[in-house]
Amino acid sequence: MTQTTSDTSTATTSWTGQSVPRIEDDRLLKANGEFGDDTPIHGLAYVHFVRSPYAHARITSIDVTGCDEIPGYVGCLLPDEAATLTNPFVELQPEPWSNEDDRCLASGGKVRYAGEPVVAVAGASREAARDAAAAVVIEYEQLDVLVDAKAAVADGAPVLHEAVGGNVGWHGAWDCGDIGFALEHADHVIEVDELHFHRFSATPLENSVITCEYDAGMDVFKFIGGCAMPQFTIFMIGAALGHSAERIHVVSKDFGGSFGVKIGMYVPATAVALLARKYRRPMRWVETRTEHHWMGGHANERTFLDVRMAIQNDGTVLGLEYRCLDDIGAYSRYEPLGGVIWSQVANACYQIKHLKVDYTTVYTNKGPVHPVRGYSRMQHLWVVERMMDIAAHKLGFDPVEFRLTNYIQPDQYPYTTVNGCVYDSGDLPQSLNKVLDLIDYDKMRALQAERRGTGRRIGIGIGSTLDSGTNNFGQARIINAYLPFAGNTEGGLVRMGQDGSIYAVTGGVAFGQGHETTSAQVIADMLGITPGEVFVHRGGDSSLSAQTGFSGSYASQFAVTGIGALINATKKLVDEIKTVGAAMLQAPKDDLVLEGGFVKVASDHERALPFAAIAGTVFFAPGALPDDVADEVNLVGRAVYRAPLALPDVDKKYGNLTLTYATQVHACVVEIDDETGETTLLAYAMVDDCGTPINPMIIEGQVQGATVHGIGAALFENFGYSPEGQLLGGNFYDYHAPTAYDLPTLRYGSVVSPSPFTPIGAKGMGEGGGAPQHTVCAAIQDALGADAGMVLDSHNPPERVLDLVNGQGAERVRVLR
Amino acid sequence: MNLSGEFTAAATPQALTGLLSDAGRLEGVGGLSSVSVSGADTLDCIFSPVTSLGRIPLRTTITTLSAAPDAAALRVVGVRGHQAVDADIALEFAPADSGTTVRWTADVVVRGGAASVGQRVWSELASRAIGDVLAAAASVA
Repeated sequence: MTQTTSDTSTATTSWTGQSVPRIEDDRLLKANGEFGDDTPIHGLAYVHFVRSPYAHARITSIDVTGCDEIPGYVGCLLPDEAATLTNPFVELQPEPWSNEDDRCLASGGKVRYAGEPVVAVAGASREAARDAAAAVVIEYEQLDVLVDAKAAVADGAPVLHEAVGGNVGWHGAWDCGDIGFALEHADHVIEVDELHFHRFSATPLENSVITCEYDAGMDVFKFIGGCAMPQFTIFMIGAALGHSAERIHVVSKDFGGSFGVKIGMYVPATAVALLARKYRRPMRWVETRTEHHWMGGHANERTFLDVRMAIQNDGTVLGLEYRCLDDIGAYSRYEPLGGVIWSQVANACYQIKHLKVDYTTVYTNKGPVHPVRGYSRMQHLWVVERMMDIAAHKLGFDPVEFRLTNYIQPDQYPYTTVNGCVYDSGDLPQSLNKVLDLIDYDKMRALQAERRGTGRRIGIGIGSTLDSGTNNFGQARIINAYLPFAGNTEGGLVRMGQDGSIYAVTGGVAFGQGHETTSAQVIADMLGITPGEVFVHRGGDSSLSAQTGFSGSYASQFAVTGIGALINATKKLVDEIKTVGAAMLQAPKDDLVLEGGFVKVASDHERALPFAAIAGTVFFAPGALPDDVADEVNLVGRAVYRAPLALPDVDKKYGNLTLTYATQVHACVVEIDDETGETTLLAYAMVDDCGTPINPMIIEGQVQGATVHGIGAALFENFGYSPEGQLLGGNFYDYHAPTAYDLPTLRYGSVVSPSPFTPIGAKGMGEGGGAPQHTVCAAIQDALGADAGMVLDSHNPPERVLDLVNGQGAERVRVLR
Repeated sequence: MNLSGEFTAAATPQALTGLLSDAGRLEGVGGLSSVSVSGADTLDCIFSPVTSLGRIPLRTTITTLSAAPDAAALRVVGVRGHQAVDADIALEFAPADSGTTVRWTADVVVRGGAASVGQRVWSELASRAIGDVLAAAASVA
């Protein structure tokens, strides 16, 4: 367990736990933020990518001579040039799957998805770049297209990556407990042929913007733009360019969302860097919404096959098994990490004892997947929730009692899952009871009965989910035993300026989560000042020494790793302040407290020094301090938080893969119009439990955000593809992200189960675990009943719901016993 | 998408099929420019169909797959930046009182950004573009 705590015995006021208004909002609401396209750069040129209109084709010729006719044309980068100047991006999977040749422009003479960049064109203005790009002539020879994962693994399927030798990108099998015995001896077995978790994304408000300046004198690339995982980005770009990591500088300022997907920014950034170096001119690429939908990163699309669940007469679920095909699109990028990430939540929220999963990563001619809010876990959580729900309906169990029976109980924490993960804390029964109160469950059941037969069905759904946070990167070794990853750390730096002001920076990069505020709250408590007196660095800057290799904002970890690092850093600063104070006040260090911007003698508050005096002495009058103090003190606390995680057993695929498990239980009421299939949300509620809250208002905001995103995925958001491999949701007209008009008032509640494993009992929680998909699917099923259509897809627009009303899917679900 | 249309041309079927290798005459067709013969059965041109955003020039290759007195089959590939339109067009010619009745069917695939952005309007646009250019071409035969 970590040794980090925030207790410095100095604070007299606790800002931690209060709904302090977000410090960053003052800047953002006054339009004083600085987003990717806002930063002025002298001599800036712009980049426009010429992209493939074909999903799978061989490039037969590229003619850029027409560009010369375009005023303002600067130059271009071609695929062969990129192949000469770069190494393939590092792949995480072992051979033969690692033979994939992925570069910043189409590689190997082929395009593999519609929207893939083929030529990067630079112009003196956006318009010049765009017009020059339109003058590029590329000829293609079309190849057969794969848009279905099952077709991709069929004999004779066209192959995307010839060097890999097939369309399988990775394969792994889990066999925990003895599911064969359980299925053979259980009182009941439910079997479902196929379930499908659809493809959608996080659609941040700000698309990717990458500016790159190349300093030829120093041989340094400087990237400016929202970068959620700077050290990973530097690693990938550095390896591709064969460039020293310390000569790559990444700066993020204000940042309009990532939710995981911008982890993939290294791909276009490499092309922008090559152009900046080639033409000795800063370059900027501003992604359009359609470009973002093409390649900005989709969530893993997963098809579950031959799913079986074993259940006892008393409602106890023994376990389940399934095969799955994880459709990652045309390139693996961050994949196949999803192949192990799902297993962080192997048990979902339940006490199952047996689990067997056969997982295959599959290439298709679709946009590449990236981590998306709830990355890889929500797919597994969804299939478990669907099976729980289907089992309850088919076997006649009360949906509430069925879940209460199978939930991990509060007194069972820390709870070890079938694959050795340790769920830290939680109170799922209390969360469920609370959320049912919020939707007025009994009243809604009465309404459901009242509406039966009217053509406007009522359904009530429950979704229980986990948001696992603070990754153990050692789990990557389950994908590839040779990957040099283990554990997780984050860095933080807190310092006092020459006037006594306080500055903090962390390796986490905020993209809307309110890190400036939560960081300031915790630091303020430790220093005895107010959050407003702590200046927290906006975004991130790789030159500020606050980074570790795993730095960044992803995987629901900042409340643990980022805050943990800042706590450790602040402890060092507190110690230095007290060291100086003790010398100046001639008092024992242990008798000092920090309060109101002063260091004071606890027993005599008249003996006090303002921080400004401490700083002024250290910076301007070191000669007034004892030598041993002056030699050691610099009023900078730089520290690392290390998550207490050990390497998993790679062979057995067993071990603790994440440190914390926030829970969310949602419930909703839907009304379905039998004639149109339209689903209307009448009520929606969610109860969050993310341990000790740092700022409840921010937590509620994040829960609301994740809920809206999940509702969007459940009902509106879908990256469908035509048989030719054309994306059908390339803009917000065809890909509807919900707004307030689509939603009822979201009712929020919380339960607090402090984590025993983290510095202040907090847990990461921003991703949300895809609870709305579970909940809305369950509600639609509840409206349909047990002897009608079965909800077997995570996306249910009106046309599908209409089919469900007419019985679709019923034949794919069987009660074997 | 599958589209179809019909019009009557003053020219004979032979004159109409003869157009497929006559770059000079096609140059005079509204919406076509820079027409050149690039192979035995292939023409290259800039085809600029009318859209609600004005004319959009597509670098276009027209390949004659078959040509008979009463029918012809064409493959048309138009590209502009990351947009592409592929059309397999089947033409049937039937004698009419005032010339030739031309019936056409087209299997059109729109690719790239337009496939998504324009999916609700492409059918109408493509139908009009094909009908207009065929009728215009027939008028110069």
